[in-house]
Amino acid sequence: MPTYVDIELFGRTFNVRETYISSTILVLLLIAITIIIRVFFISRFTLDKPKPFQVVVEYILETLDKFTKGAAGHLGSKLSPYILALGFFIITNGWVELFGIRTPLSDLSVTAALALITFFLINYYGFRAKGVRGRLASYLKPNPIMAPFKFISDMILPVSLSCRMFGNLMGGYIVMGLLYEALIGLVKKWVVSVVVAAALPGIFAMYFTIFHAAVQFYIFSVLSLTFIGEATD
Amino acid sequence: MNLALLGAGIAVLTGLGTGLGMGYATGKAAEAVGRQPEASGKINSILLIGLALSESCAIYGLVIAILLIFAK
Repeated sequence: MPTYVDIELFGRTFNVRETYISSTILVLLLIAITIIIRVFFISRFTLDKPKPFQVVVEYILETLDKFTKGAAGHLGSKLSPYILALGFFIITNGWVELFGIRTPLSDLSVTAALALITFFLINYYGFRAKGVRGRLASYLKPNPIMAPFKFISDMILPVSLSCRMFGNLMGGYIVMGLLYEALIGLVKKWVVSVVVAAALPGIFAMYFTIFHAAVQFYIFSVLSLTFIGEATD
Repeated sequence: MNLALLGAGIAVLTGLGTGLGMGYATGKAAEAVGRQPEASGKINSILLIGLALSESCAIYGLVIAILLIFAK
């Protein structure tokens, strides 16, 4: 399933997967766009008589603040930069499927990295808000018999978060690949015209690529905010 | 006949319960909207969150089937 590429750097040969390369290129592109916007546009924001671009940016940030405060409680304003960075990463990596490149998010390593970041944040804020003894005592809260089940369901959190996004996006990638192959076979046998074969994947890609990536980002961010808010309550 | 392929076929049977549960939840949501049409926005967002979370039970079976087929 995964395809490997050999890269020669500093005199040695590395054997890397193709999704790591596309993910790195996309992140470098995002960093370049961010630096350009910061240097040229944001330094010209004014307090009175704003231009349309400033109004749009401020509206997006306000909506994000309300969303994180509603889901995570009083820690919401500290978590909204993390949610915005996660949103840009997931949306860019998900919508690159429209150009024919395999999405980096259909690789279990990439989604596992995102889920581990969320797991680290949950434990960091939980230990800082309650202390080590308070957090371990919260496992015994309603009933001491439930302690192993609560502990297991806390440890299984990164597995569930990563497998959900990986399964959804891998399913979409496989279905789009099968659709392209079937249309190529049908066009060769003169069953379907070329115009239909060029337009039909676009209709399916609206659901499988665009909608799946957006919904998975929404579910991932809502779950991370809920678990962080629950650990610091 | 490879036993891993048979296991992959059995693992995808998790879609059965998932389909039943999601259909039942959608029916309840439609009934609630019919009872009070002004709250249809909030019911819509609650329904989408519930469907995406319960779909992950079927996705677990798919991940296990993919692991069984493509990994030795």
